[in-house]
Amino acid sequence: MHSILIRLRSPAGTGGPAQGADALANRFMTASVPGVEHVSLQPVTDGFDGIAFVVAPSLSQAVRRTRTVCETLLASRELGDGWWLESCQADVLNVSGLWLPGRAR
Amino acid sequence: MLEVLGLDARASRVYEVMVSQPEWTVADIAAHLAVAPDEVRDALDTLARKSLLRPAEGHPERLRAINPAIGLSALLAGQEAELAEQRAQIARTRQEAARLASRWTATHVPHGSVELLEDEVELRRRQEELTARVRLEVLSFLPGGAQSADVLAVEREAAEGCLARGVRIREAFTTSAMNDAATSAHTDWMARAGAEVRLAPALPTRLVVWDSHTALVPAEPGPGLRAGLLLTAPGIVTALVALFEAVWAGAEPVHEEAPHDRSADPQDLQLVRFLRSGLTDEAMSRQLGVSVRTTRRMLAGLYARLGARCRFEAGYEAARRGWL
Repeated sequence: MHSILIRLRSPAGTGGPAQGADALANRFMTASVPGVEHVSLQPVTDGFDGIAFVVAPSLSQAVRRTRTVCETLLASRELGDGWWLESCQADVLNVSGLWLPGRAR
Repeated sequence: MLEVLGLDARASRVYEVMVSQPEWTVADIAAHLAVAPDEVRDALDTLARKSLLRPAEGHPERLRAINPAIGLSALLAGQEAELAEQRAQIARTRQEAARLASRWTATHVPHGSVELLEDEVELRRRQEELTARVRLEVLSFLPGGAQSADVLAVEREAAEGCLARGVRIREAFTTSAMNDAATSAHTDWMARAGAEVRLAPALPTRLVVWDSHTALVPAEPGPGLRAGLLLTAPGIVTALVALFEAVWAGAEPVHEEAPHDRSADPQDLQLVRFLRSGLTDEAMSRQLGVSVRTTRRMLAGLYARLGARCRFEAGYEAARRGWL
């Protein structure tokens, strides 16, 4: 699995997310985009920060799939009006197996 | 290994599989690790919290991503900082220990040691070591009348080595020991070989002193020496040497003491003649064509060979040996 950092932001002055992180994570995993295995989100003052764990043939494809899910959720306005995707990029967890002891890929 | 980064064992295992098998799903990982899928999800939550995200500078309420190119070094940075602090703490502790050790050393003048030699074999071995290393003199009391054949054999062997190296030997026996033919023959041999042997009506203890710095006494009262105490404390050894000298002064030579058989070399004889003439160190150095410092070193060597501690004693000893 690849890990993808996502950062969703609410409009200025709206006071942050209206729904819980677990509920939103569940929405990610039930979206009709293959490969999203797990999502871990943390609420912050103006949105959510978190990591999506995605199975894909490559890291770039995992980023694209994650972005698709985020944009689908934003378009559905489930989070509310004015929310936007600040960041969707590969996370530090995607290190080479060479970093790990006993692994040589 | 990743536990050192603050990851628990389960999260570490999940992480390893995750990056080495990127095509595997949560279910695949769970099956591989023989755990429930929810446990894998919990581990993924742990990994996500661990940071992989960090508070943004100037905005602690926000999180920022770490460049993936940095990889685990970002995770290691925190551990390295803790390690550096621990190293600094160890260094401070080591410095403090060194300071305390230094203070302890400054306030505790070494007073020598006491070594208990309980085993006869070990006792014999240590005596042989000390006798082999002695440079100037061996003093000994052999109380208790007749000496056993073993003791006499050891004494003779040690004496042969010492006398061959020019080491002075002074041995005191009890007068009654001369009633024993073997002991009497031993004292005769010792005297002929160059040792000084005297007889006293009584001797306080078995005693051996090497070069006035190491003494051996019995661990238990009595004439025998089955277990011994080896003493190097200067105060104790000095007292034992004084005891020896007091007894020695009142003892009678077993035979007329023969001159020491060590022959003097020309330099020793020249120095002795200078001493007899009453020359100062400076005058000697001019005569010898060497520095005063060298002259004093030569005199110190002469004193050591004679077993003397001053000019007077050196003169006496040189005269006794027939060097004048």
